[in-house]
Amino acid sequence: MGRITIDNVRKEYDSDAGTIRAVDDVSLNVQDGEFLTIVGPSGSGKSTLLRMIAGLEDITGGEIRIDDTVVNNIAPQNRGVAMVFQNYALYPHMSVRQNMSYGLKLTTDLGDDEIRRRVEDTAEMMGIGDLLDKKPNNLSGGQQQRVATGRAIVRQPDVFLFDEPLSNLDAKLRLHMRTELQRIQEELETTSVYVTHDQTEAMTMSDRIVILNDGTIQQVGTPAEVYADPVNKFVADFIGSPSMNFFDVSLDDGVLYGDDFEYAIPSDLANVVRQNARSDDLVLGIRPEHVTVDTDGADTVAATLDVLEHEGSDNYLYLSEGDTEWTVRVDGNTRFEWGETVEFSLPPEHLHVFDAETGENLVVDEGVTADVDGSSVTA
Amino acid sequence: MSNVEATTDNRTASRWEQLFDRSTRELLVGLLFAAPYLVLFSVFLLYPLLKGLYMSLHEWNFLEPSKSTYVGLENYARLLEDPAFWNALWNTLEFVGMTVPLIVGVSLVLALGLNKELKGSRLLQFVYFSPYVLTVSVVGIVWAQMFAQGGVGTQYFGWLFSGSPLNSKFWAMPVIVVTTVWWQAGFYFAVLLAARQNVPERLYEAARLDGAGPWRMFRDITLPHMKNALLFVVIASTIFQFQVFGQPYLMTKGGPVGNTETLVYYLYELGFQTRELGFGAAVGYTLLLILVGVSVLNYVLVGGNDE
Repeated sequence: MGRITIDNVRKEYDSDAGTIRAVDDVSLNVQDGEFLTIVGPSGSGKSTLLRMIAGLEDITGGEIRIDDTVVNNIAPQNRGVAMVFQNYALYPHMSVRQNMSYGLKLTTDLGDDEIRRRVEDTAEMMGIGDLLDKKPNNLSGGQQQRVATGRAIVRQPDVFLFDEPLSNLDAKLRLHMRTELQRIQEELETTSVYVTHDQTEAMTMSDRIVILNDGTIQQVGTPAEVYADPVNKFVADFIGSPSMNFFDVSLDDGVLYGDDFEYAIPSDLANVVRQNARSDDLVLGIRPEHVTVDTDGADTVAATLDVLEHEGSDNYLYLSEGDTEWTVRVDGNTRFEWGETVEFSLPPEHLHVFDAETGENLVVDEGVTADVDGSSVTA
Repeated sequence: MSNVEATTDNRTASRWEQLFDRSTRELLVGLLFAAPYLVLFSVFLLYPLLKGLYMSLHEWNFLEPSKSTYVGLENYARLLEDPAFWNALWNTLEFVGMTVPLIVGVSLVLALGLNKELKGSRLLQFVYFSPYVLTVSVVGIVWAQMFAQGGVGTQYFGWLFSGSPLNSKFWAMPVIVVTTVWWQAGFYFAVLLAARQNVPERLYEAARLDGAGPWRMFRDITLPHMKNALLFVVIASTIFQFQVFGQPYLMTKGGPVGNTETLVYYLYELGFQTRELGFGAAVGYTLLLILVGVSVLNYVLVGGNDE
């Protein structure tokens, strides 16, 4: 079991500049066996939230429950959680075997033989069976990562907590460990809360993603949901790589007017925007992969090609017209010349229109759980 | 020494290149850079060291050194039968045996206690370190006055001593030990505090999740991380305390009845009062051998460099 309930949790620090609110009234449910990723920029409070679940940070307000037990005042070792740290935090003076058995020795009354068996089984599973007698300093970064993960697994906790566990690895190894961690989590079916600033990790690994900014939840949803229906400009910008194109626009009579372009949108979309908009200042958003150069009759925008980036299967076009810049993804076989004028259309089903002031997505599908103020979200 | 040649050769670059091959030139340049230290080392360390060895093998004539007579190891043989030497050696061991564990213990407790970022811990760090900046003469005179007949310390601890503890065969040495710990612990405290602050906090967090209490964390994380610093503190303070002189000289004059006469104090008496320089040099050399032995022993016992 490992259901986590987070109820109106706050974390405040006192500093010279006054009280800093690192986590601001966050509510969240993590299902048993779920892989939930908390993603956000530096200082968004994601690590603090994770550390509060672990018991490494006091909870200023609100309640955290694991299964039905309120853990606010329960010591970390008694919460049934195990954590993998960013820099692994392996005990440098102990061998891999000692690192992995340490927690079992201190928190269980298992016999030496049983501990030895569990450590060896876990090491085998992590592919570090031949490293058991080495010291962490003699291991590569990838091996240390495996040991750190193994140290968490061997405890057989109710909940795994990962604090940016892959960020110290090089790109290739990170990709490999990503799939490895997914495989292990699927095998063990242990509830996992995973913190990262890397939206690719979040998108590829998670059952659900929590996007955090300034200590408040921006959106909770499956990777597909947060990608297709970002509730606000922050989420739209944060999820997706390269990030979404944004343009300041105003809407008049079914036509979006930008600084250097105008674009007619279908009347139903225009109606939705007009209904939801609180002012005339809007932001149009569209992802590079949704801009289409097959124009077939729709309204088009034209811009000059500045830079063409080959990325193998895809090409990225960096276009400009006046002060307006567009990033467009096209198929790797599409040929364009530098300086060429490219015409493209913006499929209405992929258009996002945000309120310029609040950042709220005005055309988000109904039924998506969201709260721009971030006061409380439960999904 | 060759560094003098190096400077003259340096002026004519082409000839200098003709004269020496590359590795010789690098050696000479290296010596040139090392020269300032080598000169000081030779004049103030190497020469006295060798001269001392030479003197210890002679019946040294203080007024006319050229009339000194070679006596071989006779000074060392005499030393082994000299009760004053054994007394001084015993007193020194007693002093070191009390002072070093106290210094290590006090500085470790202070370092662990003041590691936390609490209000006032900065101030306390300064306060505990500050005695170390005093010279031994200031420390010795102040503490001697405190524990003189009628001194503040003597009165305050009047229930413990009768009269000045510096005149007591039992209390004189402990007072010198306490004085030394008060004076020196601050330095070793600073060393250990730096070592403690180098321990990554993440390890303590991992240990908390693994269920380690304060004692396990200290034993399994803090201590292994501070091992090298502790080794340094033990060896450095042992070597330093073996050479104790200023405190007994200022506080007790080695008394009462030679009870606080240490090796260096004895050496000083031989050299500057009875003028037996050859014999004194033999005492000095014996102290050197003891210190080398202690250092090696320390390293083997505490060190065990397994990393």
